[in-house]
This record gives sequence, C-alpha cells and structure tokens, in this order.
Amino acid sequence: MSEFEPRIVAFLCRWCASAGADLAGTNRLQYPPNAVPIRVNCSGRVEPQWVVEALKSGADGVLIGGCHPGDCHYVAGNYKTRRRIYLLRKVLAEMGIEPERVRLEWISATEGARFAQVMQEFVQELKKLGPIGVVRDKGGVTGGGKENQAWSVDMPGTKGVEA
Amino acid sequence: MTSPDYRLNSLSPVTRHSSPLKIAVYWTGSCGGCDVSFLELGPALLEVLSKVEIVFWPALADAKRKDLENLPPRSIDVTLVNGVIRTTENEEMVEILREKSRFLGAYGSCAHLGGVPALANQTNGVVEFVFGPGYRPSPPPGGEAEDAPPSLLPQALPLEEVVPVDFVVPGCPPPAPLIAQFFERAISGEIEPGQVFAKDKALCEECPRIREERKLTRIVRPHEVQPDPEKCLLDQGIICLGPVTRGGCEAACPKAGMPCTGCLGPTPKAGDPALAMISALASLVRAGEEGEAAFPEEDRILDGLVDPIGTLYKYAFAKYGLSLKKLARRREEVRA
Amino acid sequence: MRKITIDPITRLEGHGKILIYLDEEGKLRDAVLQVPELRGFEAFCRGRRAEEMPQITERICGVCPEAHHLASAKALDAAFQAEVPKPARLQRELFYNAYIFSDHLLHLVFLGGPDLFLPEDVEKSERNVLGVLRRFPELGRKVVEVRAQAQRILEIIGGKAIHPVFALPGGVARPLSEEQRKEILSAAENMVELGKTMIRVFHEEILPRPEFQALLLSEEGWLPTHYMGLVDENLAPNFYDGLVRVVSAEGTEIFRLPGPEALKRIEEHSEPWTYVKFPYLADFGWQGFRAGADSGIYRVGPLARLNVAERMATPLAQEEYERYLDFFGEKPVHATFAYHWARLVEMVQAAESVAKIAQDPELTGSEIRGKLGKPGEGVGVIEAARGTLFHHYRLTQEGLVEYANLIVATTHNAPGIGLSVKQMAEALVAQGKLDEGFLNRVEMAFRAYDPCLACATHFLPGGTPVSVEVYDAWGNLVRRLEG
Repeated sequence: MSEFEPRIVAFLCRWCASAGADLAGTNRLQYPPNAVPIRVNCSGRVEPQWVVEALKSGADGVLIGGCHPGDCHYVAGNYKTRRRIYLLRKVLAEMGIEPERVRLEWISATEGARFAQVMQEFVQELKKLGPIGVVRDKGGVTGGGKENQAWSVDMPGTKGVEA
Repeated sequence: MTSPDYRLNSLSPVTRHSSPLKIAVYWTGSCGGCDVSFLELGPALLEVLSKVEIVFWPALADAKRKDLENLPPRSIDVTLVNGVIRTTENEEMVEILREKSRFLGAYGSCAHLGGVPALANQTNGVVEFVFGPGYRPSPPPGGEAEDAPPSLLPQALPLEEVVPVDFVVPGCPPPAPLIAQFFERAISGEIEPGQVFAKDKALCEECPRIREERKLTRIVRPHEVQPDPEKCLLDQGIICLGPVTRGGCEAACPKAGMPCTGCLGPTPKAGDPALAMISALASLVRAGEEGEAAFPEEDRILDGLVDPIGTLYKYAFAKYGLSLKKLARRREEVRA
Repeated sequence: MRKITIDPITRLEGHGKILIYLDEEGKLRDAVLQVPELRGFEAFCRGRRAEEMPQITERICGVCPEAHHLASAKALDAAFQAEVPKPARLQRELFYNAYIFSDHLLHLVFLGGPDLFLPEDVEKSERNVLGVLRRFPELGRKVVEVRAQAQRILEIIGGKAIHPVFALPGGVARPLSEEQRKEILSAAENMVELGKTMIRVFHEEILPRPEFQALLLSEEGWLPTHYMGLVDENLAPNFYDGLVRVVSAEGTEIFRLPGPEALKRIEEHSEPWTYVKFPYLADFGWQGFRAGADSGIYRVGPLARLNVAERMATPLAQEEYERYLDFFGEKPVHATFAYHWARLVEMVQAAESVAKIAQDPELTGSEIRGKLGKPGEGVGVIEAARGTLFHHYRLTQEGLVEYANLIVATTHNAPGIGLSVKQMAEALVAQGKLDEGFLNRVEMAFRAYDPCLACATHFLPGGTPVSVEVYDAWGNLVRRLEG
C-alpha cells in the first residue's frame, strides 16, 4: 500500500511568497510537490471561506504565504491575515479539524530556500496527522475533546449512514 | 393600548391557487415556537385564517397522518415545515408532505439552517448521552417492531438536505412583519421559487444604534458590561452578528440591549456566517498601531471569543459546520 | 392482538403517538403515549457560554420559552452568587406573569379550548380554534386582541415575545422607561377584564354542560397522586419563586424545600419505548405505573398548584378558587379534567399580578444588574405554565457550561399522563366505544395536562439513579437494569 501523500492548497501572495516559490524553482531546490499553488495579490485577500473550501474539496492542509510583517505591499494586509487565521484555527479545532492543517508563513521574494523548507516541514507534519476527516482526537467542548471520544462512534439509536 | 397592526395589503383575488388557499404546517425536531409564531400577527391572523383552509396542522387541528397520506399528490397549495430533521420519522413525514404539496417551504431557523438543536452535531450519540449505554429503542411490551420510537439520524439536518425546498421564511421564530409578507404573497399566488422572506442586506442597515469608528479594542461578554444604549454593540466590544445577518426583524435584539445572534441567517454576501464574522472581527481588532509589537495584545483580544461554535454558528451549524465524515469521504474521492 | 394507533396526537405542543393494544377478546391489554422526539439539549449545552443559556435552553420550547429563560437566569444568579436588584426582579416577575396569562389563555382557547367550547360530536375538521372562533366570534376577537397585548408586554421587556433575550446572570439587560410602564399598565387592565370575561363564559357556557360535568366527576378522570408546586410564604401559588411544596394524595405535606434540596428528592425511570423519562419521589421508589398514596408518582401544573396551595395570591383568583373548591367538595382535587378550570383560576391570578407589579414605581429603576462572583454551580426553579421546572448548571472558571441538568414540567407529568390515557382507553373499551368519534376522548385525557412534549424529553443525564426495564416482543420482562 503506497504511503499517504498529503494534498495541499497553497495561497501565495504575489509580491513575496509566490516570488519566493518561483525562486525555489529557478534555483532547482528540491521540495515535495504536494501543493497546488494559487497566487493572490495579497495574503490579506485570502478569505477564511477559501481555506474551508479547500479543505472541503479534499485538501489535507492549506498553506497561506504572505510578506513579513512590515513588508506588505499593501501596508497592513498581512496583519489582517494573521488575525483571521488565528480565529479560523480556533473554529476548526472546535469542529475536530487539527489547527495544524492550516499554516501561515511569512516568506519573502528572496527566500526560495525557506519556501522549500516550509514545504518539507508541512508535508512531514501532514503525513503524521494523516488524511483529513479521519477521527484522531475529536476537538470539541470545553477545549480538548478527550471526554468526547466516546461520542465519536455511531451509537445505537442512531440510523446507520449519515446523509 | 392598541395591538400591533399587521394588516395584509393584498386583497387581490386568488388566481393561481385553489380558493381558499389550502395550507399545511408541520413540525419536525421543533420547539413549537414557529407554530405559535403565526399568533403574533394578532388580529391580522383572523384575516389570514378567513382566506385559508387548514389541511394538516397537528399543533392546532386534528387531521392525522393517515388523513395526510390519503390526499392526492400536489393537493396542498402551500406547506410550511419547521424544525430540524432529527429522526427517521421526521424524514418520512417531510417526504410525504413534499409529494402532497405544490409549494413547500422551510419555516424558521431549524428548517432553514439546522437551528439551535443542530449544535448537537458537534457531538454524536445523543441517545446514549441521555439514556446511557445499552439503551435500545424498542416497541412497548407486546407491541410490533414498527411501534418502536424512531431512530435519531446521526446528524441533525436542515430541510433542504432531505427534500427540495421552494422558499424560506427565516427567523427564530420568523418575526411578524415577515410572516405577514409571506401570507400576502402566498394568498395572492406570487411566491417566487427560491424566495427568502427577509432582507438581503445586513441587519446593521435597520439597526438604530449609532456606528462610529469601527475598531475593536476589546471583546466583552454581555453579562460583563452594561452597554451604552445608543452606540453600536460591536463597537463596544460585544460580539454582534448584525454585519453578517439578514435584516427584516427591525433589530429587535439590539433594541432590547442584547446583540444579534444571527437567527435570520447569513446575508447572501456573507455566506458562511462564522467565517464571514471571523473575517470581520479580525479586520476590526486593534491594539494600538498595527505591527509586530501589537501581535500579543491582538491575540489576547481575540481570545475573548470563547465558544466560537455556539457564538458564530448558533443557528447554522447543520448547514455550515464541517463534518469529519464528509471531509473524509471527499478526501477518498480525490485520492489519486 | 388488535392495535389502534392515534398518530399524531394533536392540539398540544410536541410529538406523540398513542398506541392502544387489545387482546383477542377485545379487552384492553395496554395503552401508552409514546414520545418519539429527542433533541438532546443536555448534550450540546456543554461548552456553551453561561450567559447564553437563557437563550439556548428556551429553544427547548417555543410555547413556554419564558419559563426556561428565567429558570436559566435564576440558575445563573445562583451560580454567580449574584443578588438580583429590585428593578430587575420586578421586570422579571411582571414579564413572567404576563407569560403565564398568555400561555394559559392559549391552551384554554386554542389547544384544549375546542374540547371545552364545542359539542363532543362536532366534525373533526371543525374541532379546532377556527371552530371555536366561528361559534364565539365576539369572545374570539377579544381573546386575540388581548393576547396580542400580553405578547406585546413580553416584547417590551423581553425584546421578543417568542425566545426573549433580556435575562442575564444577576439581572436583566436594561432598565424600563416610564413610557413602557404606562403601555404595560394599560395592557394589564385589559388582561384582568378578559380574565373576568373568561370566568363568566366558563360558568355560563362550559360548566353547565352535563357532558363536561360528567367528565369532571368521572371515574376515568379520577387519578389520586401526590402534587408538587411552588408556594410563597402565605402558601399561595407563586409562579416566579418560592419553596417547592409536595402534598400527598391524602392532602398531607410531604416536604417543603428550596429548589436544590427538592431536586435531590426526585429520581427517574426510563422505558425503551419512549424518549420521555418518568420521574417519581425517591422516598417511595419506582413501583411501576400505578397511582395512589403509596406510589411515588406525583403531578405538577395548575391542578397540582391549586392542591398544594392554601389560597390564591390575588382577590379575583381567590374568589374563583373558592367556587372551584366548592364544586369538588374535597382537597386534594384528583379530577384530571379539573386542570382546565384550575388553569383559568391561575390565568386570572397572573393578570392581576401583572397589574399590581406594573404599578410599582421601582419597576423603572436603573439598578438592573447585581454584582457577579466567580462562576460556580447553581439551581434555578420556577413554575412553568405546565409545572415545576428545574435548571441546574455547573460552570467552568471561564464561565462556560461544564454540566447542565434540567427537569422540565411535563416530564414530571409523564407517569400521570400515561395513567390518564390508559384509564380513558379502558373506560371506552369497556363501554364498547372505541370508534373514530371517541378517539378524541382518549386524547382529551392527555390534553387536560396541556403537555409540552418538546420540553418533556429533557432530564437528568448520567449521575442520577435510573432503572430500565427491557421487554421481549411478547411482553415478558427480560431484564431490569439499575443505573
């Protein structure tokens, strides 16, 4: 049985992260090819809905790449991104999705090597987490979800297959 | 004191429907609030009742399930279903109603989005939680197998996941002005397919509170403060879902000193109410000048959002909440 | 074996089915009221913000959301060790009495009303509120008018009439204005007037009918149980607050305790054929489905409250209470159909209370929140229209719900309702009258209780002793599990 290969969607800002990814390419740096890149004008353009849409479409992880704080081409876009992803990860955790599946990185246009390294690390981490949707530790009420482990299986009194 | 007046404007002759309008109202996983919400029309209700024939409405009239099953297909003009689809019996009943109805609509937040009871989708095993392990629904002593109580579905579902839905009257329960609007359209025969009886614009447009500079410097909970009665609640740090929620309720809750919790459902622009609200909150939070130095304080402010599911998905978890099973299934489909 | 099914039962809040089983000789083997709904509030209340509980738990029931809203607020008052300042308490009490008035009126005219106002042989399609409005148009118009005004009071104080938003731990959201108080007072006067009218109509149109009198005094309507209700220091019913008083089937006091202590004296029994549980007094133990002075089964709601009280709290209600006791001649009144009359008496007290509180100048006071301590544990008890309601919460340090536990009015009545339905079915079978026309009579047996079955499927999870009996398809007891 072949090893699980995580599928990643990477939203990369045009001015920094996407350029950094291109640099990794032109420098012929090796990194796992698991990501589908999507170029956006600014990481601040990335809507939480897009991240969720990616996860619902079969992605095991989503990477958002933006400029370093202070370097955003639009001045403050990446500050919004940071706060958005902070809240999004909380909400995902409450629904049983490991927050580590959504990763925000600052990658400048000159950081080709850093981009390659981020991809390596992310793929490793996702391999450990496994494919999305398989119950590992259902996150949930009062933070943690350990007490909900018993409830993560279909109980008698509930009909078989979920709609 | 005179009672509120929701007089129906349209007295036009009923053209496209049988006369009087044959209606059915049914409840699934419901609290009954939607069934009594019609009474909020006050005296206008008498006018409505004079123009309709109640074919099936267990809350108020005595027709039984077999009376419903005996009706010819599409013989009910308009059916309103409220409640979340929670049991196998709920599923069966709405399928029968769909067959017997020309127009069938989701009435109230539960039918529309899953409602408050859909928060149970965060955990499974409601029956076991309530009754303990080993509980098996069974028939009464000496009864037949079909006499057992219906099983609970593994997830509570909004109506549209079980049958096609022609229109929505949203709210928890739908407020009287929207109910009046609905009956006007139903009686005059002018319901548009897909119509949602609420505004497309956000609640903020009709809220009388004054919005000043949009900046969130703290998040507080309603019992921790006594807010200024004139100013926008969100500006004062209380999480209010007005920006992402449809208008049409005349901002009843903000007028009463409490934040909107989203019962009319998200605006078409917002889509998923939690994700839209996250975006809004994140945009508004400020801890002084934006910059790396502000990050820890910004995080501290954002940590003021506790119980994000209960706060942001209070009525909409069935429709928008992520299901691990569905994610896994989709993941399998694209495994290549 | 022959089976008759009433599906669904109608003119109540909630889902239910009545299953009647006859043996080969056509005699009644059993009749049960089955509740096929369960949404599991106790499960998903965990992890919620404490201050949201009044708004979350009220979604248990849209006919009595006010009861949950305030029982929840009172549990939170206790959990935060907060004292509610007088203006906030007056707001809550006034609001609450307006709700009781409205809910009882709803039942008297819309739900149970058709059984009271219409002749028994009326056509099924006529046997509903429209039938009542057609035969009593003047009264009907007044009822709709005044109910709208009572609902308006709920809207003024609560923000919304159905699923109000105003109660918070330690108080309420905001002060009332003088203008609002005047509007409320004017509505209250009309409510009291309607109360008087309804009393007159009851004595002129309903009580004199021989069939109704026969029902009131019938053997199949007579069920000797214990009774539970809240009483104030004068042993008068108080819907908002008081001590839980339980009076035996013979009229002696079993206990009179504050909410948290009373809660400990109740246990429950569950059956696999219905999602409602069956509470009983722990001191007696579960002795199966039978009533009587030595069984643990008790009832709540208007009949019960008028049995545990020694007097009413307001003058017009007291007058009607005396006429009521005069008619039955004994106390406790065990006649199930007396619930309707008791409901009328309470409706009048509620209206008078609204009028009284609306005149209190402190109602518009600005102090509307008490100081909150650290979140802990608390119990709130209140009388819903249908009976005693307990909310019990344990909160985390963050003010989230760790544990929620509710015993809801109609649940207490589940054993009584089951017995009343069976009694009525038995009587009809014995009289050879089990045809379509008489099936409504079986339903009338539960309807007197004004049940709220969405409410009823909420009760103590886990920790409390629970016993489960499992039967095979032939009705043999296979095993009994003690939890």
